[in-house]
Amino acid sequence: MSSAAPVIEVRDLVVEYGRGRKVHRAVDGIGFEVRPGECVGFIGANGAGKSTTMKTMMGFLFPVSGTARLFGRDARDKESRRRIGYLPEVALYYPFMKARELLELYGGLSGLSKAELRRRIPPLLEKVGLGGKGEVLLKNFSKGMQQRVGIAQAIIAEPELLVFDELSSGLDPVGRHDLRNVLLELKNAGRTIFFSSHELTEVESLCDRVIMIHRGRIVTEATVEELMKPLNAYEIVFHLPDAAELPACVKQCGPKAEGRLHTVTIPDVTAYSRAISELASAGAKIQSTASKTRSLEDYFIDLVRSTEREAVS
Amino acid sequence: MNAAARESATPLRSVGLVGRGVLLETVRRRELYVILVFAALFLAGVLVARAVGIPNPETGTFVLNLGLTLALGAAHVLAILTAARQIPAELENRTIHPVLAKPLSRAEYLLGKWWACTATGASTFFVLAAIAWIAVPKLEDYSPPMLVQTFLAGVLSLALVAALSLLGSILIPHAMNVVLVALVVWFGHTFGGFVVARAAGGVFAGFARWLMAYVPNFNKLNLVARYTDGIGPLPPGEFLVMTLYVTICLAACFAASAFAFDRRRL
Repeated sequence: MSSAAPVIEVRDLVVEYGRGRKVHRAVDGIGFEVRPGECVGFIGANGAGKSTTMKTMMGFLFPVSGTARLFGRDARDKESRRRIGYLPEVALYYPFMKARELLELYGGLSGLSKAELRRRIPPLLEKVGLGGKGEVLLKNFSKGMQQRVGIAQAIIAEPELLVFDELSSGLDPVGRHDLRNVLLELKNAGRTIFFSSHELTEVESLCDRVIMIHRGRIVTEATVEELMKPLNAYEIVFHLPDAAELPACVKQCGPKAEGRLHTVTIPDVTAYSRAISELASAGAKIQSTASKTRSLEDYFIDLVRSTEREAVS
Repeated sequence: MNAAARESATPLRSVGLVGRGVLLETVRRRELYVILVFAALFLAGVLVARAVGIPNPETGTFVLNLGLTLALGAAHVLAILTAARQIPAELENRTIHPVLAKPLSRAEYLLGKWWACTATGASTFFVLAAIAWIAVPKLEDYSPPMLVQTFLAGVLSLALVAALSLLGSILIPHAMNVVLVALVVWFGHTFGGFVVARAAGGVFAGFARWLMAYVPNFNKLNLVARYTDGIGPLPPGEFLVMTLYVTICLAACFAASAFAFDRRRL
């Protein structure tokens, strides 16, 4: 992690909705930092507080207490937004505008000159998969196309920080793939990226670091490597002849069988070595072996469930 | 961002860009065309009347008054509808978030909406009034400076109505806002006079006068009858005071709008 000043700095942030008895605390004292050049995934279940945090960072919501600062400035200071590209969670873009006109509006508001806009818009539309659609009214765009236009408006001014709320919402697999390439390009260009997503494989493949939020509180903040460390478990897939018997050490681990093909997960390396030699002695043909790692999704689901259990108990 | 590629994003440019969006919306929506259809019907009516023959100058003046009054009325309706829906529609469709995520203050956003709504109303007024003025035969003498004052006062009135509608759209529900602003524009003066007259001599007389002083008097900004009645233009001092009155009302509307909008969660 870079020691440079943080691009995003959230401290003890508390955000509430409603008044009086109906008050709901959506964000409950969270704090984190994002440094220049980092790509950070912000994940959590629906209603966890991701969008509320992002909206507060952008100055759309006001915290009860705590601060959200971008580039060292208060989130409501328009100067702090000069270096940001933001993609909202759900946004429809002006249906009466053409894609080109919309990008001219947003680019112009970001300070791009008319000549620069004329130069940038066609390749940008190509990049987000909307080549040749510049003169089409946005009311004729599908949800996925609207999301692509949203991505284009967020990156048109080549901002230093990208804040994407629900990154691949509404995109089909091809769209997600294209978007991942765009983000990789931006990441390689040294941009700071902070995004929320329900697509955990996307987070796994793009992020340096992950912040998990649940019920308004941060439950984990770690690098992707730390979260996906090997589970010290090994999977063996093997063929067992009809006459042969499963070795006892394999039986203990509860193998699954499909005809003659068996799959077993061995919990540690010593047992794994023993299982391999006993299977060989029993005449089994080993098809494959693999060291098992936990996916981000496994981690996330375990974490949410354990938090739920704690809450109930 | 490359500094050479960046023009200074001046507040004026940002305000202009926000307003341009409103103008595009107006041109591409149906309300404008409904009003133009009415204008075409009026024009057809006047042309038929001309073909049949307008019998005397009084009738000609009546038709001109009717045309200019309808033009001003239609422009006000369009300005109210356009200004009143801007913020609620942006909030409902969530188009407001990407806009305000750019380096644009909420006050600049409001100003952009306001000038465009005013311009929409003013253009409608000019076009419709021009149609009426050209089509109706001038059988009496009308003062050209008075015509200029009528147009300018109309624009001031439209500017004020757009600002009021924007303010209302931040504070109260859409339908209520449209009805309330329309009542203030067309019946505010009458209602104010009624309230003050009823309260006269009572304990609330002072309060009623104080309250009504804050309701803009749109009657003073409608100079159509003065023009068609052949009365000369307002003295420059009086017209200046009227302009100042509108400017103060506008400033008050803006201050209230900016204050309320700045504290609004989006």
